[in-house]
Amino acid sequence: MSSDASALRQQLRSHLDADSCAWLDKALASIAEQPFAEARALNAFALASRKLRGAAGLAAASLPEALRSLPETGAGALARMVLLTAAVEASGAAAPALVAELFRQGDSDEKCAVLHALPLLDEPARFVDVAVNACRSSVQPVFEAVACDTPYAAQRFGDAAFAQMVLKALFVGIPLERVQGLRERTNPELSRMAHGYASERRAAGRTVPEDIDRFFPR
Amino acid sequence: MQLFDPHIHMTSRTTDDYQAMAAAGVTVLVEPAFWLGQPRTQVGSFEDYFLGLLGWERFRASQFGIKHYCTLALNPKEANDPRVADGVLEMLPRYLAKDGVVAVGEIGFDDMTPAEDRYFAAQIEIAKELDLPVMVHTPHRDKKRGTERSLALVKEQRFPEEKVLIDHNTEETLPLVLATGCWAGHSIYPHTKMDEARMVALVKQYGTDRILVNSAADWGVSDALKVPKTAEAMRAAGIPEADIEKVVWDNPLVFFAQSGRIDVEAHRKATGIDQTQKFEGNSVLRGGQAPLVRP
Repeated sequence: MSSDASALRQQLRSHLDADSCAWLDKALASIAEQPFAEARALNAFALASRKLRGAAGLAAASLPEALRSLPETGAGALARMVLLTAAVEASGAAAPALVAELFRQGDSDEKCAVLHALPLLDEPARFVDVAVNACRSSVQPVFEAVACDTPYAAQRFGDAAFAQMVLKALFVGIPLERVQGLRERTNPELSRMAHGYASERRAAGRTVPEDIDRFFPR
Repeated sequence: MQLFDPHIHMTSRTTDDYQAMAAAGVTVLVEPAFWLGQPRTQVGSFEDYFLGLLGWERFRASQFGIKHYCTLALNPKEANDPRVADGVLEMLPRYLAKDGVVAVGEIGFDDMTPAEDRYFAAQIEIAKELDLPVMVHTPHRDKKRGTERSLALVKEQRFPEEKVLIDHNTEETLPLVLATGCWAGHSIYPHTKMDEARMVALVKQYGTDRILVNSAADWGVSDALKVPKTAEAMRAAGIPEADIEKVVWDNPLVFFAQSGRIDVEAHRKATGIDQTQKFEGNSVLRGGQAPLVRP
């Protein structure tokens, strides 16, 4: 398990009240049990938000770097990330299939927790397909969970997928400051696409996002 | 007055309906999983439908300031299809575990076949295990007998009656339901089931305890505004505001809160709207529309 993942688990455990912590420990134990059973992980993941309902999240300073820029994240969502890191460890080589399944079966909150946890997982490049696929979601919070305030896409996406994500962020009206690593990942093709979008907007008599000139100067 | 529509199939409705419902005061709804008109031949079709209720439809409702809950089940009609019935039951508990799933439903009878009996009972057992209420559809044909058998099955299974909502009641079935501890839903339809004037008469005769009204609007001729219209009809008939509010707000809230998955206090405050969460191409808003934001 990555050091970020174990640090998050420790921080969350010491932050929760006794009952919540006992539930989390029990869920973690059921996930660690071998042979690994996907159904136990899926069930714990679904229940986490209700079991920890009302518990506040951690202060930014107590979170791993990859989670610090996220908007308010409650204890239930953090618990889901902790459960996911444990399930990835326990499922071994089946981890990519497990993560894809957790994402597929999840409601929108569960999907967001999967996406936010990706940078904390061992060998994170294994999960890039889930994140690229999530960019196709029309549920905006799910799209934002890949595109905004998290480093995974900039670290792992190929150029084409990253460019599509940035274009979609522009379409949706997301301020591009929220796309982490954009300045490092900018390239002539992405810039061309952004200016193509600006041209289409101008031709239609619509306003052009100011971010296009700001992030893709010519 | 906030309104709660406890039975409406929004996946079959347009954004015009969401807009009109929001304008008429509907802030909370429950969408039960049901028959889609076209038979499904694979379990995966049910799974994607359930995921649609938990995902896209919930988001779509939120764009109009409406809180969307759902109930999930194998519906009575498709309980007769061996291609899907067992597979759906096997997969169902996984989705019943999700946030915002407030009952097992619609279950019940359609043709009153042995298969329907079996899956009705099996799903009552699942509800018992998961400590969820159930929403029971009553049949269009032989309704009175279907209602009697539904009530008898609930009793045989020793399922807590206060967690049972028997739906689509008429003048002939309502007294049967009220004689038990179950709750009674009424689907106000343009032509069939129940209408506003008859509903007013029922409330005058039986009072407001355990009585709910819904639009049951779906892909057929139906009206997504039947809850506000019924509230208006009750008002015009001189029924006191507190009684109206009990039927169109408190009762559904109290019934579905038994799932433990509804924050009742949060709903007593008005729900906000934030359409800046828009998405061109696949969104509820289209280019040029100004997003509505109401804190």
